[in-house]
Amino acid sequence: MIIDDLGRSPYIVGNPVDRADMLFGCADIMDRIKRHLGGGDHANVVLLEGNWRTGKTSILRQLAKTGALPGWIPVYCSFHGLDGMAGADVFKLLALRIGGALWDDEIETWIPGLERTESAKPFKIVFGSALRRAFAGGRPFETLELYVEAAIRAAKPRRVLLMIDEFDKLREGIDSGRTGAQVPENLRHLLQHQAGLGAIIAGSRRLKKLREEYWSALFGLGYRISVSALPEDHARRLVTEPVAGRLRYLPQARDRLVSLCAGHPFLIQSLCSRVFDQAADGGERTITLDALDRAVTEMLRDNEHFPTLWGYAETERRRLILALCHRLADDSDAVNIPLLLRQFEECGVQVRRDQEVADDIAELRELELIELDRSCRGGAYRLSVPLMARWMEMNVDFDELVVRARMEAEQR
Amino acid sequence: MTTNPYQVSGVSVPPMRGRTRIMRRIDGHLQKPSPDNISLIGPALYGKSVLLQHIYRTYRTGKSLTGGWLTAAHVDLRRGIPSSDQEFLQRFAQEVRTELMAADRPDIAECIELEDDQIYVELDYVFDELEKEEARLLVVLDGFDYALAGTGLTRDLWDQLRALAQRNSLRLVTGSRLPLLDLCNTEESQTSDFWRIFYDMRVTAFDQDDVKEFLQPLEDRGGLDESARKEIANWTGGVPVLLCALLHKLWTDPGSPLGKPAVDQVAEGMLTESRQLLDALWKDCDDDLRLRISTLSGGDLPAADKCCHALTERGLGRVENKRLRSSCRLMERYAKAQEPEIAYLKKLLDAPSGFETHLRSLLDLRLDQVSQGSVDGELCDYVRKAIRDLAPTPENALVWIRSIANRALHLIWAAELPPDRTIPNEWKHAGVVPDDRGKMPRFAGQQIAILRLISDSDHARRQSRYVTKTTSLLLDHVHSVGNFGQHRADYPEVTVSFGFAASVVLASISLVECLEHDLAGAAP
Repeated sequence: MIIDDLGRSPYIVGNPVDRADMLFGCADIMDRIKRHLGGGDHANVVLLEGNWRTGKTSILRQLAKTGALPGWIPVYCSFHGLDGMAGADVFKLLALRIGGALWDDEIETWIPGLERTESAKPFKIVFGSALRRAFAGGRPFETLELYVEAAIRAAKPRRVLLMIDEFDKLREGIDSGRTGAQVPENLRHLLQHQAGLGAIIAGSRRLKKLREEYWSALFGLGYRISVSALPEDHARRLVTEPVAGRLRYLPQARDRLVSLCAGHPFLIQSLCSRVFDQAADGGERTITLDALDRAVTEMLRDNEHFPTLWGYAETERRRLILALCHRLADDSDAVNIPLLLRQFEECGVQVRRDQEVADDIAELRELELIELDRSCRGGAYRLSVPLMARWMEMNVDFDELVVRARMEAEQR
Repeated sequence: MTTNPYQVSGVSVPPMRGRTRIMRRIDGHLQKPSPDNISLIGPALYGKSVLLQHIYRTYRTGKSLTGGWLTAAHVDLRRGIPSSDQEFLQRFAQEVRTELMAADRPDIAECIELEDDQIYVELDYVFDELEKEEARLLVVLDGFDYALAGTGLTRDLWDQLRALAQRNSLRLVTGSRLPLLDLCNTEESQTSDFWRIFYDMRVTAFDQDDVKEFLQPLEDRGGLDESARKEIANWTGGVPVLLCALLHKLWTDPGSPLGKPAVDQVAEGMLTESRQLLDALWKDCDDDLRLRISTLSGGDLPAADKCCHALTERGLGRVENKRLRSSCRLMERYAKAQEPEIAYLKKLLDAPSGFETHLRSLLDLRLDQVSQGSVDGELCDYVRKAIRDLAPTPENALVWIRSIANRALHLIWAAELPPDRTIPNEWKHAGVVPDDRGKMPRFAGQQIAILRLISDSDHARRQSRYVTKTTSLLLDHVHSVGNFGQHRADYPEVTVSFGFAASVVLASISLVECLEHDLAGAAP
């Protein structure tokens, strides 16, 4: 059996990296977090910002492991676990996770003022059920505050560290009107006034935007750490070290893989996984450029990542900018805003104000879909991830995109 | 004679044969140090359910497998599609609970109480406990297409499932016709990260090794000669359901060893006897694929053709000397039989004028089809006039749209209200405002607003006795276009295209059909 000869694939696709030996390029970030949380006087709030699939959850999971943060009891809480979007649901989930984490640390807590009923069920289930009752009444934030005070007291001499993941969900809840706009202010109040409580808040790059908007009260407290693509040497190690002794990457194939993925750990793991599968199927042990190319084709055919990013661009005009950045990349003129405006005119896509295109560019850069290459002809925009260009070649009909962008402009 | 090992249809899922290569890949991804969630994607009738059942059975007793597998659960979403997040979680939790009990873990299973309203908390607890024990459960979700076809499931559910599957104790395997993100029919759901946790794998036609394994029972019984093996591959192209159907029939042939004549004879018969299977395979192809299958039945295509990959994956084409040729004679013959139909449609719609002329005929025929019952003659008359006036000046058709909307409203109130059109008290409690005499207001716009309110069950019990939401939506649309038609002079910059007018007429025909259905039980 070929696979038994090659062993199992070590790469992790789609799920957070749960093994320290597969977490490349994050040691520095974790050290910075530890240093910041080691401080005494200031509010211990870290903002972990990075686009989707940059490894934020993996970092949180590593930090949540026993002993990783001495003096703290880590409480991992993903807002994807919310079973409702009202403020009370948010507070209830926080209380549930704090109670659960403390229980795992052999510290039993209860909701102040709520009668405890005898039950043969496990504590966490009973506690979850009690929280439903406690948060069903009015003043849910006060309930949370009282509980957190009690939890912090019980945890002493250690402190409680909330690791809030998928924080964007809260913003979406507020934007859609399902979550009260006072929730960020409530959280700020909690973090600022409860000594013994700290937080790492992880979310997409949009946290940066939020800092500038109405959430500034909360985010003003935080120490910001960005998570993005891996440095090149770490990216190369991620390709080769996990399969050392089993697969041999030719240096040009390894470097090509890293450059196609622009050092993004999720893409590298996905592509390496495809390479591994093909090697297992075909009995290859040396990875050449040809083998890599076959894996790229297979990966792009069955990949949900790029269609999702394409969706995140939100408007047809922004998608057209992406397509133009790719089509015009090899032309003599630099792809910049004046060139894009001329292209829009030629395509018949109306732009009311030049600033609109500048805003689109800013948004696409925020999403890390394009970047400004300053070394090129006074600055040129280009796609950040070469794999995305390959995906667009396979899946995007440029003429159809122009028609869509034109219609969208007419409807504005 | 021993039981026929080749099962084409039936209530139970047949045991898996072949699929060695893909199973090796699946095992590789489920038994590696950090297992993946897997999404199996393949056309209808290519054996996804067989594969999923096999995975379920293997991992249900998977304690000996690498990866700490405690057990597996199988959720068949094709049977009773969950209509809400809560219902989905309940189904999911039910299967998890059952399998944990069967795996002798009542201590954890009994934490899931299916009747209460904190199922997610309980599931979260269960997977948290399993994670601490480094035990893992595989949940196989078959027919994901069906779940995603509805609109009752929200992004919150997908986010919750993602949060559960981020634990090491749970892995998911799904089966669907298309990539999950493509199946998602609401924009809100598409934004969930759930769709990106999967490693996608294609379920394709059988490869040579699969076919060889599939033939084994026949080989064991009395054998096949080389020509028979070759012809079986040529007739079926490795399309699982065709291969299975052919072998099912060959099994009943007492001759041994079986040769080419026997295979040819049975395969020829399948063109009529197994037409349903061929119809289903044909329907599962989009227009691009059908056109190419038809072309391949009489020739070949460049290997660079955009559908080359899709056809080879389906076993309907193979590349030889940079040309794409047919690889499934059964489908090739079937497509040839469809040629007159395709050619006829092509001919009808080739020129733009053909589209306009024939679409009018089609709309006329459709109106005849839906108006054979007791539907109101006056209403049908207006629709027929709108069809008539679609060409040469499409906006003339819009003139009739307001009459259609008004007549439909008249029919609805005749069924829903007493002859004097007094508004019932229950409607008033639901927010309906009558005119100052307590009756239905005169203006159509107000009537439409009332219809919207009484047919809505989003916030309260539906008040209308007969009229359903779909009828209300259609009438709302027809009414607004009718208004536009009456005020054309206000929009001098707009040209009414044939397509626009025709789509409104089609909506009007659907309205007739809906009214026929809704008002069937009302007094004449």
